[in-house]
Parts: sequence; C-alpha cells; structure tokens
Amino acid sequence: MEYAQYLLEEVGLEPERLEMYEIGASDAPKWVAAVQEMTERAQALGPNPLKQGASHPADVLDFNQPGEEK
Amino acid sequence: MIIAQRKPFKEISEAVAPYDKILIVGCGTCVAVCLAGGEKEVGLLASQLKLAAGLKGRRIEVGEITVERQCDREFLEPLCDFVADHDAILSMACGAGVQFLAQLYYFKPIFPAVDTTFIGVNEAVGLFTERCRACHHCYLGLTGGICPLTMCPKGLLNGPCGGTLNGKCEVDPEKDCAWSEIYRRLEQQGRLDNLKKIVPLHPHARSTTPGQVIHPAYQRRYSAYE
Amino acid sequence: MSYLPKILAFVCTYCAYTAADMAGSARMQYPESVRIVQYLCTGRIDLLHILKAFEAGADAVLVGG
Repeated sequence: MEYAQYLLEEVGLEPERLEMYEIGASDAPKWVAAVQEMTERAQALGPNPLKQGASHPADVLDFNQPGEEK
Repeated sequence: MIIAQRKPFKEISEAVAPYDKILIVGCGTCVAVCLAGGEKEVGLLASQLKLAAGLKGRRIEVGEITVERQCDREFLEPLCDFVADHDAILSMACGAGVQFLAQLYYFKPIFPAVDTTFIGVNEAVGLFTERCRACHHCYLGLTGGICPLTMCPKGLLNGPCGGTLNGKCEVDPEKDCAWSEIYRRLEQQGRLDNLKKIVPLHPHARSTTPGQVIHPAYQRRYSAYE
Repeated sequence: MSYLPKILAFVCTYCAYTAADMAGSARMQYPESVRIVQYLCTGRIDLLHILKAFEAGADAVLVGG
C-alpha cells in the first residue's frame, strides 16, 4: 500500500487519494465512515487532474454505468 | 542471476519526455525475478508514464512487451514490428539486454529503465545479495564455496587479514568476514589444509573488457571461413 | 469546492462488500460517490488495478478488506 502511494507520488498525484481500510463483514458503520472520509478527502483535493479537458485520454473508461444519470 | 533496480521515475520520465510513442520492453528472466523489469514492472511503468503525461496535459502512447530474454537475438528479432511503431524504446533489462536491443535496433533512441547492480542470488522475496564478480577465475573449490573476491569486502585471496573481529570485517562492521566463514566451513568439512595453499595473484588481465568466450564448437564451425 | 468525486472502491467479497451490503440493508446513508469493484479477496488487488483506476479518472481509490 505504501508502495502504491509512493508510485502515485512519483508521477505527481496526491498519495492521499488512495487509502486502505480494514472493514469487518459486519462493520457497516465503518464502511460508511470510510466512504465519507474518502469523499471528503477527494473533495478537499479536487478532481483528478487527469480528467480535465484536453488531457483527458480518449481511451478512458467511463465509470458511469449505462443508464446512470450523472 | 543478474540483479537490477528500477531507476527513479523522474530520471526515466525526463529521458523519454521528448517522445510521444514509447515502447517499454521488459525482460522475463533475471530482472523479472528481482522485481525490477518483468512483465508486471513494465505494466506499472507504463501506467506511471501515462499518468504523469496526463497530468502535464500530454497524451502519450505506451507500448508494452516483455520478451523471454533480451540478451538473445532470437527473442529480440520478432520485436521489429513493435519497434517500428514507436519513437523510442525504454528497456527494462540489464545492461547487456539494453545494449543488445540497441545494437539490433540502432536507428531508435533507447533508454534504460533499470540500474544493473550485480550478479547475485534471491535470498528471499525482495532480498537480493551479491555472490559473484564474474572475475574469470573461480576459487570456490578451494574456499568451501564462499567467494573470497566477492564476499570478502577487501577481496583478499589469502585471508583472513588482521582486520577480522568476531566474524565481522573492519571495513564495515555490518559486513561478515568471508574468511572467518571460509575457515568455519573448511573446518566443518575437515579440509583446513586448503588454507595452507597460497593462491597466486589473481589473473586480473583476463578481466579486460569487453570479454569474450568462444565455444570450441563455434570455433570448429566458423574457423574454416576465416 | 463542492463536486461529487468519483471514488473507486476495491472491496473483498467477504469483508467490505458484506459490510457495504449490510449498510444498504440497514438503510444507512452514505455519499453516492463510490463505485464498488468486488474482488473475491483483497489479495487479488494489484498495483496496476489501482494505477489504471487513476488513469481512467478516479478521484480517489478506497481499498476495503
């Protein structure tokens, strides 16, 4: 995990964009907290710089599932 | 096995910055085992390069291919179509592989993505240690299988010297004294007599680079034409 | 800045996915920013998967196991 964060840092992405959580099978509140924390972090860091305008690689996969409104 | 280390990403990305179509060629033998330049590392480097280029607003094409060995013509020749499609080659093989690839595809700029370090062993996953200096003359039979040139920090052929202390070397107290090890091993095998043999000067002259080994069969086959 | 980030969650079937499932059945509210990729085991997750996620434009990656 540290190595992955280091790889991100090397290319110039914030390592905070990646985090690992240990979530037990019955630990729903922890899952909710993890999602909330990552959302807050991503909001604080701003969108992934790769997504913007011209730099957007043409071959990116679209996360939105078909039919999903976004 | 040849041990290598991935170069820092900054160095690699600066080297290939002028090119838009880069072919990363991995090597599936030594550097794959020492986690420096195998198929997986090729994938990671390609992904990193694409991410870094994207962050700078550039769009680059990165080709990935891993061959069995880059030090062998038969594996490099099929690469010609891939090489033709790219502006530059980034080789993740050892120095030998990089040079052979460069020799075969001399018209393309080539860059190394790893630093070749030494000939060593895979002590554990992720721990690689040096064992051989490729010195052209092997003493292992005399020293109980411990190389005095490589394992002794001073490279002494007739050791131990006076600098051994509790099995460690005076050069670096972290390093083991190879000659203490050699003594212990020979003692265990009852071959302490070996220590009495004085090893003559090491034939350093043989190590003049670039070295060459010609197999007798090769000699027989081709000498007729010379 | 208020935008809805896209978070890719790599989760293990037996831990985090079950937890997420339970969060759903318990009607717990959490941001809809997350997209779940279910793995049979977190051990299957590869550095490459994570980098590819960022390459494809994920704002953050959450690994849950």
